[in-house]
Order: sequence, then C-alpha cells, then structure tokens
Amino acid sequence: MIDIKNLYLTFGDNIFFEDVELSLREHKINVILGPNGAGKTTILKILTGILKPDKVSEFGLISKKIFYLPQKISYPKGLDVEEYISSVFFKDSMVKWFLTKEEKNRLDDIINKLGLSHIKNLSMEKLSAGELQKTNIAIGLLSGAEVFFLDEPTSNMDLINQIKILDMIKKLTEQKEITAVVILHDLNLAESYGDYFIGITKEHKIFCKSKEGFFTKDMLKNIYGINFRITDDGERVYVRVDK
Amino acid sequence: MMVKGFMFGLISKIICLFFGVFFFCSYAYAEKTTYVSLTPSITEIVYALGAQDNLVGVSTECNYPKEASLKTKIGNTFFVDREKIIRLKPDYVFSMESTQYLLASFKYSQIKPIFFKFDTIDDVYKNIEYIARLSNKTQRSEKLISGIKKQISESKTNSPKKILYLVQVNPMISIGKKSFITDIIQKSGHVSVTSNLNAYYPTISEEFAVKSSPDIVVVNFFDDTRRLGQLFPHSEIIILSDEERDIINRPGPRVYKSVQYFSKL
Amino acid sequence: MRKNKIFSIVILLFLFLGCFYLSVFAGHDGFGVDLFLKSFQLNDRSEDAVILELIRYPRAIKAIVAGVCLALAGLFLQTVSKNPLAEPYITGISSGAGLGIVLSVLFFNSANYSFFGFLGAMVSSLLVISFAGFRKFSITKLILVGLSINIFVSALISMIILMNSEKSYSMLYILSGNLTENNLVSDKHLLLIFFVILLFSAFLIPKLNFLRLDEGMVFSSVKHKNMYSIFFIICSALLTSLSVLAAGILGFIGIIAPLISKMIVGQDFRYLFFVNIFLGASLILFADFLSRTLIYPMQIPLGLVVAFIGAPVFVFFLTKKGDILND
Repeated sequence: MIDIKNLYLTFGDNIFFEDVELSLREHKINVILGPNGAGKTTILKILTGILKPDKVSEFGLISKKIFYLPQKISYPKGLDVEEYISSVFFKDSMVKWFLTKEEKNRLDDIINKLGLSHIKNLSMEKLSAGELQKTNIAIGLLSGAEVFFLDEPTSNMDLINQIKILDMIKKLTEQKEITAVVILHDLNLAESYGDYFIGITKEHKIFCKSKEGFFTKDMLKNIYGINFRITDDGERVYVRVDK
Repeated sequence: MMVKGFMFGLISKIICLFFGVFFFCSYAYAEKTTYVSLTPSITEIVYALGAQDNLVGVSTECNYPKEASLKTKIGNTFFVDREKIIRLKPDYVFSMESTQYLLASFKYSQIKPIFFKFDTIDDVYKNIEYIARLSNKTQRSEKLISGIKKQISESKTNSPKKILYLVQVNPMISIGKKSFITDIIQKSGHVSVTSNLNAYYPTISEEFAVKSSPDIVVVNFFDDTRRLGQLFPHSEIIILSDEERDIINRPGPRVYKSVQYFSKL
Repeated sequence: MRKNKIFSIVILLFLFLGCFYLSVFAGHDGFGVDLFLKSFQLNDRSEDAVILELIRYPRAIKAIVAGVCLALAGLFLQTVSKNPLAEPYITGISSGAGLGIVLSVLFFNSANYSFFGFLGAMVSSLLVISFAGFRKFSITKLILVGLSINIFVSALISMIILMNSEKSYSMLYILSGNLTENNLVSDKHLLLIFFVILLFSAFLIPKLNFLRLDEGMVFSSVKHKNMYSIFFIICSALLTSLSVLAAGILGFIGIIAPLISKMIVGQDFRYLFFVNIFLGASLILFADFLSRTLIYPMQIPLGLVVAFIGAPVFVFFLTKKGDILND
C-alpha cells in the first residue's frame, strides 16, 4: 500500500483538491477513472511530482522510483528501436560515451521480453502505435522505475493493440516488476484489467475502491453523474449506459 | 476677320513685352546667387574663389579655411537638415554625386541641388569653373586653375616608387582606378599598386597587398601598425596626420599640395 | 547502421581536411601544390612565408573555431528547444555582438572589434537568459525575449552606423563577418579557449541522447530537466560568443550544419557530434577559400559567401532527405 493523505491543491483562489486521501496497491494495476475535467491528469501529475501540492501530510511515493508516460509523445527522427530505447542509459551520468556490457545485456533482455526483437533494427517511423508504446514501456523498465504512471496508454489504438499493451502491463505487475497507475476511459477494459480503482468525480472527490466496491450502480452514478446498468455473469461484470 | 487677327497679335506682343520687362528687371535687381555646401572640398573651392559671401550654409565637416566653420551648419553628408536649408533660401545645394538620394526631395522646390563629380584632378578644374560661373568669379577661377596646374607640373618625382594607399586597414580598403587619389599618385610620378582595380574604394585581400610588394604603405587612419609591420617587413609605413589626411582626401584647390606630398615620398 | 555512421564520419573528416587544404594552400591561381610542398622549408622573410603565417593559417584556424562553435551551439539549441529553426543567435547574441563591434570600431582601434563583439555577445545572451527566468524557464519565452532584444539593439546599431558616415562602410563590412586579425586575443589563446570548450562539449554531448526523449516523460532521478536545458543554452551562448571572437557574425551555419548532419547520421548524438563539427568547419573553410579567391584581388565578406553556398547545399539535402525533419 502506498498512501497519500491530507492532500490540498489550489489554483489561485480556486480550491481543486481539499483534504484528499488515496492509496495505491503495490504490484497491481491501479486504474484512475472519471469524467473529463475531474482531475485525472492533475492527480497523476501530483503523484509524479510534476505538480507540487500546497500541502500533503503523507506522501508514500517519496522513496519510490517512478516513470511517467504522458498521453502524447513526440519521437526523435532517424533512430531505430534499439537506439531509441537505449536513450535511457544516458539519463544519470553527465559524462558517458559508451554503454557498458551489462547495460547492453539488459537492453537485449528487455527487448526480448517485450517481444520487440524482430523489429529492433527497424526505424521508429515504421512502427505501429502499439509497438511505439512498447518501446516507451521498455524505456520505463530500463530506467529502473518501480511505479509506472501511464496517462491513457492505449489511446489511438485498435482493440487488439489495446489488449496487447494491457496484457503486457498486467504481466509485468504479476511478475512483481512494477506497480502500474493507469488512466483509462473504457470502463469494460478497466474492469477486466484493473485490480484497484480510483474514481474522481466532477467535484474533485476521490474514491478508492476494490473491483467489487467500485462497479456498483451508486458508485458509478456518483462519479459520472449518469445511470449505468451493471450485469454480472458470475465471472465478469459488464457495464452499459442506462438510457 | 483681319482686324480681329491683328488685335490678337498685338495683345500677345504686349503680353510678351510685359513679361520680358518683368524678367529683365527681376534679373537685374536680383540678389546675388546663394548656395549651401555639403562637401568640404566644395567649401574650399568657394573660399579659394573669394565667393564666400554667397555661401550661406556648410556641413559640419567643413573646417578649412577656419572661417568656414563659423557658417551656419546644415548637417553632414548622411544627415541633412532639410528644414534649415529651406529656411536659408539658397538657390543651390552643392553636394557629392554619391549623396543624390538624400536630396531627392529638393527636386520639386525652388532650391536646386547640384551634384559634383570628383574622379580626377580634371574634375576639380571643371568644378572650380562651374562654381565660378555661378558666382561671377570667372577671372579669378582662371588664375586659380593655372596656378594649381603649374604647381602640379613642377612637382613630379624622378624616382618612381610603388605605393600602396590604404584608406583603412581592417578590413583592408584601398583606392581603385576611379578614385581621384589614384590620379594624384600618378601625377606625382609614383605608381599606385591598386590602380588597375575597377572600383572607387575596393576592399582588397591582404594577400594581394603583400604580393604587390609596395615600397611605401600610406595609411589614411591610424590603425593596427604592428600588424602592418609584420605584413610588409620590407616596406616603409606612413600614417597620415590629420591635416595631411584632409588635404589628400579633399579634391579641392589644395590638390596640388597632395601631389607635392606624394612626390616628396 | 553503426558501420554506415562511422563511414560518414570518416568521409566528413576527409572533407574537412580537403577544405583545410583549399583554405590554406589554394589561391586564385591554382590549387597551390607547389606552395604546399614548399611550405615545409620556407624561410621566414619570404612573401610566401608571410602570407602563410600571417594570413592563411590564422584565417583557417579562425574559420575552424567559428564553424565548430556555431555548429555545436546550433545543435544544442535545436535539441533543447526541439525546434529545427532555433539558431545560435536567437538568444540575442547577434545584436549584442553587433553593438560591441560597432562601438569598438567607433571608439577604438578597429583591430580590437572582435573582442568587443565577444563581450557584447556574452552580456546580451546572459541578459536574455536571465529575462527568460531560471525558475519558470521556458524556451518560447527565451526565443521571444531574444527576438525583442535583437530588434531593439539592431535599431540602435543602424542608428550608430548612419550617424557615423566616416566609418559606416567598415562597420557594415565587419558586421557581415570576416576573419581578419584581432589584437587582444592572440590565435594561441583563442585555440586554447576553443579546445577547453570543445572538450567540455564532448563530455556533455551524450546527455543529449537522453534529452532527445519527449520532455513529458518523467523519471524520478531526473527532477530538473529544465536545469539541463538552461545549462545547454548557456553553453551554446558561450560557444556562439567564441565564434564571434573568431569570425564576427556568421548567420545560417548554426541552423544548417546541425540539420544536415542529422540528415546524414540520424539522431545518435555521439556520431552527430563529429559529423556536425566537421561539417561546420568545412563549410566555413570552403566559404573562406571562395571569399578570398572569387573576385581576387578584392574580397567578398565571408558571411555573404557562407549564405551563397549554405543555402543551395541545405536545399539540396532537404529535397533528398528532408522528410527526416517532418513531424
């Protein structure tokens, strides 16, 4: 459990978050859900330290190594996949001209693990959206981060690629390599991949629930302000908008 | 019909007569021609002709003879105070050919700009004659010109040397075929090593200057002499004083002095 | 891939050596083979010795310093700002340098102008960077502040040039960039400073391999990506000022050298570094060769020749491999 307590954030005179409390489960997929403007990206930015809150009494992430992947990313031109991923090795030291043997091995391992070995010498411009996202995740893994913050990692992807990426993240959490904090919009995808849910309402109230606690009519109505119909077939819960 | 034609002819003749008398009167009783000068060499010519009473304004750069600097100032060759010129009501504005654009607005006024060319010593004579005609000093101009010509013909050196004249060292700017200083050096009997360059003041490459192996390097402005000594280890290097520079750079009545200056080198 | 890149570096090294040879030995009258052979046994007082020692070698050295510095500064700025149009002069340097040059021509011996240009460049760039703010730093703000200062100071420069008719020609000439002597900093000192900064940049270069990643990505060990940006911008200001000290103001090289190099080797900055510095130096050496031979015995200001050869070369590369710059 990573806990954040008594969080306050104001923009000018407007109070955005007031006495907010939330917790993340380690080595699980934590999904952040909520309507536009609720503050999903804002909370992600606070968690990653890009945005400084006005006050916070407990901030469990302080000792964790994190990696934040924004929703839109620009890629440098004229690089192949291997070169792009190896950029991360130049992160820490100021003076470094060559990769060590150990770093090269780690690079190969990760490339194999994420199933990128057949495209590792392909130029970045030729990759599909799903493959591009995999290279970013490889960068996160090589950076040694424990907690991954992914802002809509499956946007602009077809269903197959969405599933591939989420499967991969799921696998990484199950292998206890990372803790994932993911913003998603698709409630059904969230239900099938998420382990723990953070719902944010339009009024910037935050609810942290397990799967059973989250996918209830009242909870979803609370967060989105509309009625949902929830069907449970014993194995999975399906969510539909109630017209 | 005949009478009508005659009357018309008469009237037109009377009108002509009237205007003729008017113009004659205005010519006879006109004040003397006045002008302003934007160029030091022209100011010098005016004084040499004794026509300084016609001169109502000068540029800030006109400092010879000394009295010239007491006249009303109307700017320099780059900034002309047009309003002041209009208030002085001169008939002419004298300036260099290269400054035509500055005085373009006078084209439509009563004040007539006149642009002088100074490419050779002969141009100096022509300019003296022209200004003399405007100021009714023709006799004096003949004397002045013959005096200058005599002085120049007497001062020709017997031992010609190769001279490199530098307007400026950094960048290296010299004198080309079109510059009157080239003409002055030729008249003095010496050779200007840059006299073949088809320009007024060409920017030359240092290499060319070194390869031309001049006997004397004459420098217009004080500049980096240490470097010149290195570049021309076998040449004499002369830096002009302020007065010498004024004399050499002004194609006026003192032009014989600059010929004399070079011939004595 | 890797072999191709090393091959490109070798080719550019030879291009650089070729341009160096042209700049030092070739003249308007030929390729100077005999001068090259003679140069090993020249006595001190001959004309050829004077020309080589006092004119050609110093010019070539300055051309190299200027080319390398501008190319590197451009590379830094383009990478940090992620804007291919960023050039070394955006931080107000060109106008600051110009003002320094014009004032020194006005008040001092003209041989010192490049030193005052250097001072002007340093002052103006530091001014612009501090206006852009260290805490709430943004590249856009930097570019806009630089632009305003450039406009303001350029007006001042034009005014000084117009008001001092006697010296306006030499001011304009020097502002177009040239490689003549300066007294205050000898070539030896210039080279010394140059090598120190070059070594420093060489150490920094691989860091750009990390900064090429999208700036939105956050890693916990890298909290102050902005600090790196500011660091590189200050470095590029230093480099550009040094180039002013060597060769006055030379536009365009700082934009095209990094872009062409990127088109040649892609974005691995460890290779890009070498290609970039060789290309920058070669372009200026070749421009210098043309500037003193094309209309011999007169000479064209270096900055103009750089523009004449830079633009066509750049357009050639754009038509061949320009898609690498598309977004």
